[in-house]
Amino acid sequence: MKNTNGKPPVRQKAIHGGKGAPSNCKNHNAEPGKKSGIQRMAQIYGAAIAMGALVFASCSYGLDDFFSRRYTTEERITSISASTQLATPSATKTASTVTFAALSDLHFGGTLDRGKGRVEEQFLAWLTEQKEAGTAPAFVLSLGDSADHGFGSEYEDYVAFTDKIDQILNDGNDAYTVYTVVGNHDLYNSGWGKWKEMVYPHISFYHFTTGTAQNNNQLSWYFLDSGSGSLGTNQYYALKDMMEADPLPKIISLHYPVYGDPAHLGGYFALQNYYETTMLLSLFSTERVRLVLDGHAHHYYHQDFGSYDEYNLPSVTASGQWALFTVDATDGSILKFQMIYAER
Amino acid sequence: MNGRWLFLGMIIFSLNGIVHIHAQTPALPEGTPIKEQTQDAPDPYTDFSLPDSESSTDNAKIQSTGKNDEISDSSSVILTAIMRKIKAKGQSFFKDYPTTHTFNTTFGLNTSGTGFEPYRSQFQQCYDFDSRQMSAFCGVQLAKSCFDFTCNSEFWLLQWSRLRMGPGLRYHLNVFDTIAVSNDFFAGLYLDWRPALWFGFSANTQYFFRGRTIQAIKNAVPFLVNHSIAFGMQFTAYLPYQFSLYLQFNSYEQFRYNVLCAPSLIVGVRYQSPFHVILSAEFAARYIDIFTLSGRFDNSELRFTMGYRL
Repeated sequence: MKNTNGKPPVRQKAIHGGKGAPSNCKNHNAEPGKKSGIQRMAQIYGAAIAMGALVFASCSYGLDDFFSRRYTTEERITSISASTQLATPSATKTASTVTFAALSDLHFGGTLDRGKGRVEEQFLAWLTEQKEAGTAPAFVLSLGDSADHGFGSEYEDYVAFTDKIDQILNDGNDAYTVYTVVGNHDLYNSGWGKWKEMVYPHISFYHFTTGTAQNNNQLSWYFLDSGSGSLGTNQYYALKDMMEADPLPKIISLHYPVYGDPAHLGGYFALQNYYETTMLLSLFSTERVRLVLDGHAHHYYHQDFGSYDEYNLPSVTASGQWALFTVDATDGSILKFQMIYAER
Repeated sequence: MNGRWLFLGMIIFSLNGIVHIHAQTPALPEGTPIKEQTQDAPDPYTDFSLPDSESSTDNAKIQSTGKNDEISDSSSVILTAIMRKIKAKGQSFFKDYPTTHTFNTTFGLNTSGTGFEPYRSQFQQCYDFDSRQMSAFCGVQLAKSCFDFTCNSEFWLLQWSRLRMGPGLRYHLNVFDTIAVSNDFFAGLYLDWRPALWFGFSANTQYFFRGRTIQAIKNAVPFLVNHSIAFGMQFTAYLPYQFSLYLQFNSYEQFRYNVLCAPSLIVGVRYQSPFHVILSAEFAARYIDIFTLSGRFDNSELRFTMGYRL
């Protein structure tokens, strides 16, 4: 399938080039337009009503766990040590740039596509096309909420999907090429047990480096567990210690936006604790973080924090969109960013 | 099946209790004016006697059904008093509503040892003002690495006999060590409903604007903003002997503000002594992201307050 055909399965749209990109790419910045006060208030109060309705209508999400969900963050992250470091993806060892795809909020088992049809097949077709063209991403980041209710059958569908991605990208060497973070929906109905059993890498806090020290092209990639709406102090301080000991440029993936769109639904779909977000935003600035990727809000938003950018990606199932990034392997700056649209 | 029996048992017990109260309640001596017993009741929410003629009428109705016996045991007195309280209507906002000034000193302790707050204990000094037309609050919190200042006022523009409503404004300043400074502004609608002498309900909903300056990113983002909402509700039961019990469900606390929705569930008890001294203790359980059922318990706090009301 070619993107230039009459009816391509997907179309690519340059949003902007990020830091280090040619200045003409920056002109295509897709920042959301300013909203009027009435729109903002309507959104905020709409969110409150929707959340109230959600509470009373969400029995399938485990209403009995309203005040306390099984498997807290502290129970999920039993150890943060060298064992949470994964192997370097082989495709990145000698590269001067790293290209990767990012998708979020697949919600297998849910109805987010609203009858328009899911887009996994379009994603796989696009990936195959990129592979054939020699422009395939080295790996894929999945930013949480892979399952809608945390049921085993939903994880089976998700793992079947990631297996197909592996087959396309791993050149037959059995390597895993999809790195998944845990989302709040993944934890419903005690879904952590299934997640841990079925989803690679079977832990919710982990990291790896791309490139090699010899080639001077190393980046550190951190995957955080924000599935409970907070990192928790144990994870935060462990992350802080690791980052302070790690001089490499860093790329962070987590499910909840650290900041997110400040006017989107009252800021509800972001980490909520004032001290936690303030400390994280400070930490990312001082510890050479270059890019923060997250989902959860089902809403695109980009925020430039000076030394790093936060991208809040929309749900691939709801919007039919995923992202393609190319970053400089020596300093982590964003060279290219595209949103890919699947037609359905 | 067990539930049915339990329900039936509760009904029988309740009926028995009511009959017992009526049987044991002493009636007024013949010819005693009812007003004589109720006219000295300046603060109906802390004073256990009945404040106005409507309540006195209810009082008379209860008492007239009893016998002219002496009070035989103290439990009857308490139950009788509770019945009076239940039957009595709440304080009228039109009639003799007291103006109060209260100075409070609070000590708080994080009892769970968790949470992102950089402190485990804090000290608060606050001033409360309440009148028929307006209520106001002003206070500071001192804690390790943090300073908080909050002030708010409610203007009761709409008033009915047992209900008042009006707009309110709130401001909160947080200085978080050398890391960040946050200015929070609120504007919203407040409601205060006191349908019965023993029960009160208050609620508010507010637009919440946060402007935060984080030192590490201030060159790129001098003023990091949030647009959110805040809400709060409180149920209060006014108990005998100047005690009151309250239950709050708030998206914020006086010195703690998060974007929607990391609520605090607070239960507290308050006692006002006859010497204008107020003592209270409250327990706050704080949650993160409660509505999308992440249901994460963040931390808990125990607070003790001593106040003086003028």
